[in-house]
Amino acid sequence: MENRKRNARYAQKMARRRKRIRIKMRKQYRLSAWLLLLSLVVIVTANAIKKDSDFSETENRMLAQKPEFGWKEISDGSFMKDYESYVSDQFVGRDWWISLKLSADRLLGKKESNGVYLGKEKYLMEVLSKPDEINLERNLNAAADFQKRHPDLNFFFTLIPNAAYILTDYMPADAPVRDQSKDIENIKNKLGSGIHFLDVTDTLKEHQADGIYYKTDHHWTSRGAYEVFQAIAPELQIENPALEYEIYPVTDQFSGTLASKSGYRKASDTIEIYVPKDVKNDYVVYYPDEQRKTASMYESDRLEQKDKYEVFFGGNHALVDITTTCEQERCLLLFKDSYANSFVQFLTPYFREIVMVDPRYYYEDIENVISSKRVTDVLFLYNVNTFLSDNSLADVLATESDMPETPESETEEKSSETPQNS
Amino acid sequence: MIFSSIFFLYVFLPITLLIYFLMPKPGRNVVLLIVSLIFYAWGEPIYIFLMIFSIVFNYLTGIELEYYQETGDWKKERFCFWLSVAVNLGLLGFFKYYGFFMENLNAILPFQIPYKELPLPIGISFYTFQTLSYVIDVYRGNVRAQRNLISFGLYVSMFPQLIAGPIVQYSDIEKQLKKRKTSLTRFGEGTTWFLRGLGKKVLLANNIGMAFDTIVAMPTNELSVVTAWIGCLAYTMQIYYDFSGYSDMAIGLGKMFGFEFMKNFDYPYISKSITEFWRRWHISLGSWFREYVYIPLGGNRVSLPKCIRNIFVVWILTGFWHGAEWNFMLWGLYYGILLFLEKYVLKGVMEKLPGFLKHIYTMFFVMTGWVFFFSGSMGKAFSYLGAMFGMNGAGFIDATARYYLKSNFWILLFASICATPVIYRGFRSFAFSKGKYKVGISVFVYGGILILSTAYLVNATYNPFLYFRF
Amino acid sequence: MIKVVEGIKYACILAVFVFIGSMLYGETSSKAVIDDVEAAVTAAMDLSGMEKASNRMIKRLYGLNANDYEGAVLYISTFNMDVEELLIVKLKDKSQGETVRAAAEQRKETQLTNFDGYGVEQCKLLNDSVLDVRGNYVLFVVSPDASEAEDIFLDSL
Repeated sequence: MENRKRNARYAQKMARRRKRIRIKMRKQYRLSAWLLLLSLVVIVTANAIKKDSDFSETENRMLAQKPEFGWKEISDGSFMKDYESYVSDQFVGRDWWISLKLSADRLLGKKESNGVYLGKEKYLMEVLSKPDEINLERNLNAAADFQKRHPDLNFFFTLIPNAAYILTDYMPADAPVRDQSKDIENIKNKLGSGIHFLDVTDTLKEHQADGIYYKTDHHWTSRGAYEVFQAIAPELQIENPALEYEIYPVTDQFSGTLASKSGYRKASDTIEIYVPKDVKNDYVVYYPDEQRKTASMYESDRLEQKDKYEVFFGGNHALVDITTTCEQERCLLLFKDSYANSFVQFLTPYFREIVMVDPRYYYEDIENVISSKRVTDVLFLYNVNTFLSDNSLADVLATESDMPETPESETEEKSSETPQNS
Repeated sequence: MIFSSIFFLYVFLPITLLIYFLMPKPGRNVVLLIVSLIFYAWGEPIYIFLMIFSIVFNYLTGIELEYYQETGDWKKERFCFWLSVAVNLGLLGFFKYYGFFMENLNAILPFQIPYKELPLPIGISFYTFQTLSYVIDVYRGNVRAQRNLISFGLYVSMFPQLIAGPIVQYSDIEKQLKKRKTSLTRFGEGTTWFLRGLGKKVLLANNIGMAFDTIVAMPTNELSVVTAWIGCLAYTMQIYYDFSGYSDMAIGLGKMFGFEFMKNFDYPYISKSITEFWRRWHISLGSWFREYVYIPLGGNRVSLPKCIRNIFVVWILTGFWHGAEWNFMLWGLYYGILLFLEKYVLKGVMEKLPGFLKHIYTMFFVMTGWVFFFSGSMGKAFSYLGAMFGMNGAGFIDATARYYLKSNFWILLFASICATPVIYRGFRSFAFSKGKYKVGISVFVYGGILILSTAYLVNATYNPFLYFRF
Repeated sequence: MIKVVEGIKYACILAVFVFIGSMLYGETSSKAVIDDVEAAVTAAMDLSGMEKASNRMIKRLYGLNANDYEGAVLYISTFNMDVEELLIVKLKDKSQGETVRAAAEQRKETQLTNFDGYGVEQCKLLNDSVLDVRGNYVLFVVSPDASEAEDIFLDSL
């Protein structure tokens, strides 16, 4: 009797509970339905109203535009692909969504974003790249051959290690870093004795705390270049290099490529220029591609734009010719990447002429330069990351006769094999 | 097109919903069919012809089969049936295995036969299995032939489950094609499934996948034991959340349009045996093979040797279904062996083991199994396994391992807990318990998933989809 | 009635064979002379600031030996900091298509790395470039007129 009553009460209670759950479930479902429908309506409307923009400041790239509609575009699928990138590029509040994503990542303890380490004290550092073995081998052989063809010139070679390798104190703890000193050692050994290799790793390591790399950009700072110049000037046979410099901070609003790439824009950098004191330092910079001459290597209008590192020479050029009033008879041919752009400001007082060649963009015959300019010294200056993946130096250094054989399509697997076209 | 994209969420889906629900009921199948064909054509427009062929061909086959059954022309019926099986499997075989076959043939032959590999039509593994299930069921007399071309076309091409399952058997869905109920509540239920799936795919799978990708890209001889296991665990979680998330989205979308699909995953990683694991992992594929291969071969009601043969036939086929590479075959064989052992050898031992040891045993073999699955070749699989067991001499733990452990600790922990029912059960009992705002809070959580997923998708420099290979 | 059903079914099977066949062997070789194709395409583009490059340049930039092909023409920007390029190759045999495609893709990758972070406009042009392998012809264009060039290219074959 008692039992049955209890059972009945229990059954009643369970029935009530089931009913409650059923009602609440219904409510949850209906609310969720409204949630989705409302979100769709709001976002679709906002997207429809919003005007398309051409360029994203934050990402530093052109945004996809509405693709053309046509049979050909549809049948080969390009319309669909383009339309998808158009929709996500022009998505309403794109920057807001991206920063939301980055905050979420940060909360999860991510130390990397899109190939960039998020270091201590707001330092952003590029993840180091692996060498492109085939092209590296080709470049080094070409450099060695080039030297043998010109035994009367002085050859110098220096590679600047990258922030992630040098700034160990600022890297996220335990982050895997490629050992660039091994890469440098390896390159040094392959260059042969005719080329004087200048190892600056230790110099840079000593100055870790001095702001030798930008926090938001993959370049080194003028300070970094200054330290390296002081260290290698004697080896470059520069007598009495200037010790005193006037340092002008030209902007403190620099947000570089790594900030764009990673999306983290907490820091902004100061760009400084170094002007030597007590040394005659007059020069004319000639840009053949623009047929323009100027008396300064600093392009101050570039400070108004996004990539303020372009203040040095206005960015990369295939060839830049600097003639100075220096009385020395030395003419320097500089094979370089963009790291050198901020290094040349230290060199101008000591050479009659400096020819900067960026092999990535240079297609002419380099021998003409050597003979017409009466080059006396050759310097290769690259950062390690770029040099390991460069595929253009060998072609510039090669003569007409030993143009490379057709490289096979270079796949990852092949990179470990012996290159066929060295 | 994939569900986890901005375009699908904020262009394709709203337009589809709008047209579908504005359309009076009789027209809705047509709407869904057209939309599905567009969905299919989106990635590789030329293959729309293949899809239309599949629909028309199998539709006609069904009608023919039924006609011969009614007239008693068994010989013609049998011919018609086997022709259809041959054509369906032939197409699947050609597109999926032709390149693999030629590659291996060329490896054996003293001369080279030039061949051109065509891109794989997405979802062909899934929809071929669906058309086969239809033809077989009609042949067996289990279902009537579908005379409405639109309904049949919709069955084959329905976009929610078109490219990554669940594999729907015709008999399960026959009635829904004719008549189904849509309501706000059902739509909402679908929404919760869809958002859970979206979160699984975008927030968990993609994020964990990044850790996996970096680890697997490192040279295996430098992987310490811990790094290798983190990589393996990351893949274990990635593939589960990727695949089950996609299935959940499919089920959710189905519900929105009034369809009921079968559950495809049921917390596979809490299994206490490999047998149980396969009852919980990709359920629709398992039941397809059971229904159309294992049982027709005699299942386990035949002599022991035949029984063993059946197990291995089914599992090698299962492995091969996942991809045209030897490592997938090996992966299938691996499970064949494990299931055989569990069934005939380890049965007594297994029963006596304490629960947690059974979990460990299961997860150990499942994770090891994934190594065969994710390695592109047999050689890579064995060298990765070597790293997991310290055979490469790279030590037990190193800085790299600590780094990846630290930077992925929370997400891996969260993913591991979510792979058990604890969180979801807790979430439900919280939402439906007494209290005023609890339902509201639970819906808020779903809203959070939508917003976060949108943020990740907008930022989608990284949104690979794993299932195009199948 | 059932005969009709059967008939359509076999027609379908036939159609699918034709479909696959055309995908495998469909791309017919064009008889067009490369000079005509070149003339047609260049007429459709704004070529100011571009010049025809030597075979040496083709080798330098693409790693392709012009003599391995029926014909190959390359136009590049006179100004080195521009990325406009036009490459038309007529293959000796269709199996060369993959090599040329890979070379063009490699070239695009290289240029993207070169201009990444410096040249926003250039990167945009590179990303919108057109690479088309049609039977025995290959077209690679980096230009604001890329899609017009492609239309003309296809028509001229």
